Amino acid sequence: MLTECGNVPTPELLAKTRAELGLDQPFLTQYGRWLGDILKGDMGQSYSFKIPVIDKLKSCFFPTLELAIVSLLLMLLVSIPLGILSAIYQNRWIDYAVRGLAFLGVSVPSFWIGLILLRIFGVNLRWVSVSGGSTDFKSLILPAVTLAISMSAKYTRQVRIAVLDELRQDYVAGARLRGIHESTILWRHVLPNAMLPLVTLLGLSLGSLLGGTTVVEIIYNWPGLGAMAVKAISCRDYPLVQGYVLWIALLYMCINLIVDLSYKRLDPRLREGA
Amino acid sequence: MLINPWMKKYLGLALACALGTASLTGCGGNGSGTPSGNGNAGGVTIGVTSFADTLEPTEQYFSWVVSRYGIGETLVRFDETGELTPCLAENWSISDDQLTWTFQIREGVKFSNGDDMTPEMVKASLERTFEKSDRAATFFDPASITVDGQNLMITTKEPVAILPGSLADPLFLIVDTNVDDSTFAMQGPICTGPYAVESFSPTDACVVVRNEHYWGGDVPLDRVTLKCVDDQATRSMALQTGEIDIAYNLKTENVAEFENDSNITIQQMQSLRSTYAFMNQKGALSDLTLRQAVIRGLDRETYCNKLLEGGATAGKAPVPPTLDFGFDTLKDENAYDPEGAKKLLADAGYKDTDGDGFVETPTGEKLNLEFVIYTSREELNVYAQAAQANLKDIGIQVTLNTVSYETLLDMRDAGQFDMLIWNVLVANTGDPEKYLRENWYSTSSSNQMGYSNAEVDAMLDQLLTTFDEAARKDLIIRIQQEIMDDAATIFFGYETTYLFSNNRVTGVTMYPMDYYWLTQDIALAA
Amino acid sequence: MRLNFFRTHKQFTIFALLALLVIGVAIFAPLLAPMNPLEASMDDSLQPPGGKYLCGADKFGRDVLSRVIYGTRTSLVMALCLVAVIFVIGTVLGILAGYFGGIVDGVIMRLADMMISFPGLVLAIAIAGLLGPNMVNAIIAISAVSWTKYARLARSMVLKIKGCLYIEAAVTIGTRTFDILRRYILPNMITTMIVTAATDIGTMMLEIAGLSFLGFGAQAPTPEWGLMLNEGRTYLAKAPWLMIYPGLAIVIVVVIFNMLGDSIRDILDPKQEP
Repeated sequence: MLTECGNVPTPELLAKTRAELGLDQPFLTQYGRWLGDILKGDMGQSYSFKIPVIDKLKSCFFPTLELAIVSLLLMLLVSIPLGILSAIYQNRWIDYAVRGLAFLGVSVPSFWIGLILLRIFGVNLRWVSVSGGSTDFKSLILPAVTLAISMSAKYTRQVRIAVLDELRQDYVAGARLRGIHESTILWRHVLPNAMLPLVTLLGLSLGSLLGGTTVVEIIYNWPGLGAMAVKAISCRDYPLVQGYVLWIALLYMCINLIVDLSYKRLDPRLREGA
Repeated sequence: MLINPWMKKYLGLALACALGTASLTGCGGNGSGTPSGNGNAGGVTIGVTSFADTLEPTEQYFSWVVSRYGIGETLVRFDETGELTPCLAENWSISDDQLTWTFQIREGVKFSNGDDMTPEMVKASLERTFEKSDRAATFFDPASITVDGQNLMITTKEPVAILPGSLADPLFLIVDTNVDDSTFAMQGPICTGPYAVESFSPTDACVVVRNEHYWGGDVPLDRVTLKCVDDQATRSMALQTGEIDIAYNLKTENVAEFENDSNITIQQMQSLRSTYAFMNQKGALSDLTLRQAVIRGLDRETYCNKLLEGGATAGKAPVPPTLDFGFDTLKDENAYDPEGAKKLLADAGYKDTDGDGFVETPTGEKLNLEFVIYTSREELNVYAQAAQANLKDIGIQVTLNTVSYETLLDMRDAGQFDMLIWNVLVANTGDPEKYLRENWYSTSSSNQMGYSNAEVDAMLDQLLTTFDEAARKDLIIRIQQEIMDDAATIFFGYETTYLFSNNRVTGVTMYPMDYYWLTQDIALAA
Repeated sequence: MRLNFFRTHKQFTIFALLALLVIGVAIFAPLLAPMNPLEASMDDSLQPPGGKYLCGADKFGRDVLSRVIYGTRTSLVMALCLVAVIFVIGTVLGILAGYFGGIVDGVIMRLADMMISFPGLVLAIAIAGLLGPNMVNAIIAISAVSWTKYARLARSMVLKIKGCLYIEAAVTIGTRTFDILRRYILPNMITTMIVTAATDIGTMMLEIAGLSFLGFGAQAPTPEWGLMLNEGRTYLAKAPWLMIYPGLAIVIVVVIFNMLGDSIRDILDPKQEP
C-alpha cells in the first residue's frame, strides 16, 4: 500500500489506510478480530496478490502436495531396497558402495544438483520442461528427482541402521537357533520392526515437505508453498505470512498426531500399554 | 550368512522394481517431452515477466500489463517510430487559448462484452482513472472533461503541452464502467483491445481469447497464453524447447544461445529505458567532489560493451541518444577518469588513514556507501557489482544491498540509501518532460535524494507551458546540462531491448514505447 | 602408541589430514590463489578455463579459481562460527532445561518445538530478510533454527545423568549447583555433544551455501560458493564453469567434513553405528 503508486503517501492517506486495515486499533482488539476471523475460515486478504489468503494457500498447497508425495515415493523406492541390501551385506562391497553413494548424496547441495539436472535434461537433452510455473507431469520430474536424491541418501542410512539394530536383537538369534528360515526372520520379524522408527522420520519429512521446499521450488519455478512463503516475506505481505505460519502450525500438529496414532497401530506393545 | 538364493532373487527383484520404476519415470519424461510446441497448436504462448498482481489498470503500473497483453487500448497510441497515432480517438486538436484539447472519439468501437463505447463512457473511464489512481494527476490535472457529440473535451487550468502523449500512457486505457469493476482485478477489465481475458493468475499465466467485437477487424488467434517465466535463463530455455513462441525481456547473453537456431528471429532496438542511480545528498554524498569522483570512477563504456555485451549504450545524460535531445552536444565533465577521480578525492582531503585500502572522509570518518539494488533485473546487479569493483580501485568502499523491489521502494521513500538503482522508461509520454520533472524537480515525491537546483526547477516549470518544439528541446538540453554539472545522478546506460520469436509466429513487432506486446498483427505463419 | 592410534583409525587419519589440508587452503589462500579474488578486469569477462584463468573468469573478469580458494575461507569460518554458536547456545539451554525442569524446561522446550516445526530455510529467510542480508545475519538466522537439536540432546542426557546416584550424593553433601553442572554433568555429556557438532559441520556448510544461493547470505563481491553458484546460474548455458567449480568445491569439502565427523563418532562413541 505504501508503495502502491511509487509515491510517498500523505499522512491522510496513511491514516485512511490504517483505518481500512484496522491497524489503528489496540493490539488485543486486532488479535481478537483476527482470531475470530480465522475461526470463520477467513484469513484476510493478501496484500500483494489481492486475493484471500486462504485461496492463495490452497492454490499453492496442491503443487506442494503433489511434489511431496511423488518425491517421497521415489525416495522410498530407492532407499528401502538399498538400505536393506546394505545392512544384509554389511561390510561387503555392496555395503560400501551404498554407503559411499549415500554419503555423496547428503554432501551435494540440492541447488547444485538442480542446476546440473536442469542443464542436462532441460537444455542439452530437452527431455523435460524447463520453464516451470505449471504443475503437469513433465515439470514435476526434475524437482521430484532433485528432492528424492538428497532424501534418499539420508533414508538409506536410516534404513540400514534400523535393520542392523534389529538384526542384533536377541530374538533374531533365538529364532535362528530354532532353525527358522533366514528369509522368514528378515521379512516377518526384522523388517516390520525396523520400519517402526522410520515412520516418525517419514512423518517429519512429509511435514517439512508440505511446508514447502524452498530451494527446489525456486530453482524449478514450482508454484508451491515454499516459494510463496519467500515471496510473501520479501514483499512484507503480512496476512499471507500469518496464514502460512498458521498452516505450518496446523500441519505440524496433525503430522505429530498421525505419527503417534500409527505407532500404536504398528507397535503391539504400545497398544497393550494403552 | 543371512542370505540364501531365494532371498537374493527376491531382493534382486525389489531392486529391479525400484530401478525399473525410476527408468520408467525417465522414459515418461522422454516420451512426453518432445519439443517444438506442438502442444499449443492453434494458440500462441508468450513468455513474459509480469509484475502485475492484478489486472486493475488503476493500480500501480498494472495498466501497462493490460495494454501489453492486447486487452486495453488508449485514445492515442505510439507507432513503431514513437510517433503519436490515432487509436480510440480519430484526431485531436487544441484550442487557441491552449487550455482545451478536443478528441474526436472513433465511432463503432465496442467493448469486449459487446457494449458500445460512447464518448460518455470514455469520459467515465477517464474520470474513474483520475479518481482511483494518484498517479494520474502526475500527468495533468483536468479542470473539466466534457462531451459534445462525438467529441471529448479536456480542459486544464494551465496549458499542458504533453496532454495527448500522456493519454497514450496505458494508465488512461478505456474500460467499461457500466459493469462491476471489482472483477477487473482478477478476471480482467472489460476493454476494447483485440483480446479479452479468459483467466488470470498473477504468478502463473494470463490466458486471453479473441475479442469477437474488436473494432479493428479480424483478430487472427483464438487464444494466447501469456506465461510468467520470471527467470531469464529459464525463459530462454523455454523458447529453445518450443514451450513458448515469443520471449520478452531476453538479453544480449541469450543471443548466442540462438545463433544456430534458424527457427528463431531476434529483433533488437535501442530502447528508451535508462538505468541510473540516485545519489542521496542527505548523506556522505552531499559533497559534490565525492559525487564527481564516484561518477568519474565508473567505466560505463566497459559495462555496456563488455559486461552487457552491447546490451546497452553507455550513459552520461538523463535522456538517451535515441531521442534527439542533444546527447552528443552535452558536455560531460565527469566522464570515466579514474586518475582524475583519485586526484579529486586526494585534493578534497579524502585519505586512507587506517590502511584498509579505502579512503576516509576529510573529517576522518569511515566512508562506506550503501548501494541499494533490486533483484528482478539481472543487469542492475551487473552495473552495481561493476561499480563496486571500479570504486574499490579509486579507494571508495561500496556495500551492496540487494533487496526486493518492494523493499527498495520503501528504502527510497525513507531515504535509506547512499546510492539507489533505478530503471525506467524515459519518455512514456513520448517526451522526457515528465521523467525529468519526476526525478529532478526539488519537491517531486520521487526525488528522495534531496536534489534541489532552482535553475532546474524554473526551467521545468517553464517547460510545462511551452508548446514550441524547438524551445522545448532547448530547455530540455539545458536542464540535462545542469543535472550533469551537479553530478546529481549516475547514468549507467540505456538498454538495448531484444525480442525473440519463433518463426511459426508472424507479425511480431517491437515498439520503442514498451506498451504493446500482443497486437492484432501477431498470427501463426501459414 | 600415538602412531598406533592413527594406524588403527585409518579413516580418521585420512580425513583429518584432508580437513587440515582444507584448513590450510583457507589460511594460506593469499599464497595459493593465483590472483586477487576481488580484482576485476572487465575485459576478461566470462573467459573460459585455460590460459591465464585455470578455471575461467566470471562476469567481472575475476579469477574463478582464486575465488573458489578464497571461498574456502568464507565457508569454513562461517560454518565453524555457526556450529560453535549453536553448540554453545543449544547445550547451555538444554542443560538448563534438563537440570532445572519445571517452567524453565517448559519455556525452553516449547520454544524449541516452535522452531523445529517451522521449515528451517523459510524461517531463516524470514530472519535474514528482517535483519538484512549479510553473513552475520545468515549465521544468526541459521542458528535460530538449528540450536534446538543440541538443546534436545543435551536435555535428554542431563535427565539421564541426573538420575545417577553420584549426582544425588553431590546434592546431598551440598555441592553448589554450578559445580554440579560443571564437574559432574558437563563432562559426562560433552563427548556426545562434540560428536554431534563434528558431524554437523558439513551440513551447516550446505545450509550457509543454500542461504547465500538464495541471496540471503554472503553479498557480492565476497567470494562465497553459494553466492558464486547463484551468479553462475544466469550464465548456465554459456559459462558452465561458473557453476561447476564452486559446486565441486562445496561437495569435496562437505564430504571431507562429513567423513571426518563420522570417523570421530566411530572413535569416541563406538556404540553408535554410522
